[in-house]
Amino acid sequence: MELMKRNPRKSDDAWNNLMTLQREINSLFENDFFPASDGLFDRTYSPAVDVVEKADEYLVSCELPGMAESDIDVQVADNVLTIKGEKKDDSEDSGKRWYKRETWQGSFQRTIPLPSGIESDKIRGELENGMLRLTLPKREEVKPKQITVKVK
Amino acid sequence: MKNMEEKHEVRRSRCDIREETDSIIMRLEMPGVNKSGLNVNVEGDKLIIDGKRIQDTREGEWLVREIRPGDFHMEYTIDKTIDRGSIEASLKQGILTLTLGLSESVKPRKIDVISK
Repeated sequence: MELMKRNPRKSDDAWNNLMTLQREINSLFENDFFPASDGLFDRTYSPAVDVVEKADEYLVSCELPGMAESDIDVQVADNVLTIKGEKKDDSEDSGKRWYKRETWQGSFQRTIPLPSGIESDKIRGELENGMLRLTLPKREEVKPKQITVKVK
Repeated sequence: MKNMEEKHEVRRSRCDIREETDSIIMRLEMPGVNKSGLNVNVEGDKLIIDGKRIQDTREGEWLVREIRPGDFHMEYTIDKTIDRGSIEASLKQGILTLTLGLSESVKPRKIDVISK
């Protein structure tokens, strides 16, 4: 018996083109272009957040351009991470002619539920170039362990 | 449109533009961009701003993904009212502030009237 080709469809196959189109449209929905807000006190305007799970830690990134450390308050309580603060505008608004105003000002709050098993007293945070990065290490017992199996 | 995954994505930053007495101030939010990743160029009538973001290591599983990927790229058309020689840029905490000086011909000029 001859080996079967893995992908027998040719590139000019109409069905294949349709599948490509579907994939491309689906990819448009993969990114949330507007920050979603789930928390009760979260505003519609709130900074965008990324949460990535790694083998031994969680990484939380948050876009906070133009904000100083003193403007930001990060708390963890009962496995809920709260990032709140006040975004201030450094320019006075008195009688200036604005051509464009796309940025927002004011207070914001983001609440992110965290999975259990985080060492809350070892959370590190740094603010650089308008990005807040939090590192949340996992507890030893929830880290994936490599178990080597000896074969005799 | 062959491969969306490999396509280099660009994003536009939020921008405030206001007029001062002798300059136009542009304020662009570019979180994650540092000085070495920033490029501001004037080519003819175009003001081109490029900001390369410091990419996080993308290994791991995304639980929340709201931050748009990609580097910043913006193009603005500037006309004769902007003095090409007096464009200043400063980047602080992810905010780029551009000060575009107005050229002498459009600045308000006070004319002294002498009464005789």
